[in-house]
Amino acid sequence: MTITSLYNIDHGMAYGLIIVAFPFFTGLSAGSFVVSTLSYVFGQERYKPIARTSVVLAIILLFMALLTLFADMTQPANFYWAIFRINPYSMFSLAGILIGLYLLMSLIYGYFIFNDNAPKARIMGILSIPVALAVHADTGFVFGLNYGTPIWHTALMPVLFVVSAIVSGLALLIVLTVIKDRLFSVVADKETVYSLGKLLAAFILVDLFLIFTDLVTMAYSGQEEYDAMILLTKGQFVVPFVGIEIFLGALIPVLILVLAKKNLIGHFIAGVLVVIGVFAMRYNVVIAGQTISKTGTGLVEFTGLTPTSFGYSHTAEILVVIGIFALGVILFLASAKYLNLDVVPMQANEKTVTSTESGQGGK
Amino acid sequence: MVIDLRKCVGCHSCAVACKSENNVPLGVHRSWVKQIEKGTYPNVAMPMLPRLCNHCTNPPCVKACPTKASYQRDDGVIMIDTKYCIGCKACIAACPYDARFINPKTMLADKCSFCDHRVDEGLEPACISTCIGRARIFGDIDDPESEVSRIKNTNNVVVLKHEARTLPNVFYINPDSDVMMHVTEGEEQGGRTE
Repeated sequence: MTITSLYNIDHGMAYGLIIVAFPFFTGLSAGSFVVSTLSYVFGQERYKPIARTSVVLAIILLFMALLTLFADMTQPANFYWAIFRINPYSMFSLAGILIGLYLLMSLIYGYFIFNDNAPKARIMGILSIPVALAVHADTGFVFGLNYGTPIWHTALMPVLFVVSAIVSGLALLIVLTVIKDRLFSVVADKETVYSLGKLLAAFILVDLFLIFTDLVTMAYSGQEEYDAMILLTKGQFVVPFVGIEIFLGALIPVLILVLAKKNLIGHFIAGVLVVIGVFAMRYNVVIAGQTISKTGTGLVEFTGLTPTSFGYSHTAEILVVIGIFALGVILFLASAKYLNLDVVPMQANEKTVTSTESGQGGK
Repeated sequence: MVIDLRKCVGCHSCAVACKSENNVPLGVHRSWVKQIEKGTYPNVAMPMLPRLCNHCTNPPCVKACPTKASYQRDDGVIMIDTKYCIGCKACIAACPYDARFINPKTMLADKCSFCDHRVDEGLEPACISTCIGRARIFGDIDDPESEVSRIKNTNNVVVLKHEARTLPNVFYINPDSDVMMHVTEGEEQGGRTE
């Protein structure tokens, strides 16, 4: 039997590229934060050289995530109601509170790290890790609790988000450590990068397993879930999902990390691929999720949020995301210039001197 | 509200009346009629489904709203307090029925309000008074003596996405299952909704 849709109203997609960038930034932020706590909280001394970079990165990325939220609101001037009229049932409301709390706590934590106050940094770190993970798990819940959207509505969503957050945070730190090594002639601690690489490979495998279970469950569920699975694996989203997210963003980096254990450039490439793959994952969740029509018979086309209905055109959306990204890069470069990111705290004095010199070399 | 699809002729006048009553801008709709074609000639049908906000008893949009701008009135109507709306679109994503949208004029979340301004004055909603087949019946579902209660309780009624536990308050009599559900268009994925 053939069914043709003659007339139906689809109000388009509520969320566009800006909301694709939002979980991407919060994920990177939470991931970087967890990496920065590896040395101070979990006592892994070999990760100490990257603790400062990662905490600065976590704060900047969180700021960018907040900006994306504001950019996506159609009434950003009313935002204060989200603080004064908290709705405990709303994951979006909790996201705002958690992001604010996390921003405050990571600023205090960063302050302690920059003052070489290891005991206080440890306490603050222990307090902040749950908040950092909660921010991202809550982002997962923002999507996961929507019944009408089959790709989103799964109990795995918060877990997937947290795991991919850690994956992307690790990858970003590998990339930045190698860039600093090449561009700013700061000698990167190669062993740090390699051990980060091992962690990264392990977390990618966990991520792949979660995606696999999610897809299998979708294939054995109702019509909408099945359609969503087909959409991701055979349909319109085969390139961003199978091509970029699975192959380019997960399988190839794992191969590189396993085969080229002692290759700095290999780690760099793997890191870049993973960050791209995680962005593709956010795209697949947000855009592919909304592509399955809630009440219609087919697919909703992603034409961007049209100017007449949502205030942003497709181009404007892309420009907003690029602008926020560029702001983040500027903030990071500025902090790399004015803050001493490479000082290894609590170590011998000569080490501090070398890194100060290298900091000047960067200018 | 009960919509008796045995009496619906598919004239779309409910959609027109809603647009003009509530000044709904171009491109967005508070109320519309979904139509599909099914079967192969000569055994064909063109089922219709008038759509509007279901004013759920257990509304996911009200739960999703971060500022409590979306709320449930004492009589069950789901309303938006525009003063508090920040335009985060959480309610639009949460609604399983695609009933909500951002109004391009006001840039606020918008949806069917059961014509609260008319109902409060004792009038019927615009779509009810314009329906030429009297397919739509509106009233107090809690009052067992009201017309809407009698019709709802003495007919086989169904609601959209019953399994979502939203407990919708728009009941349909005699709808087609293919127009009620998400159905894959054609034989393979790839068709798109108009």
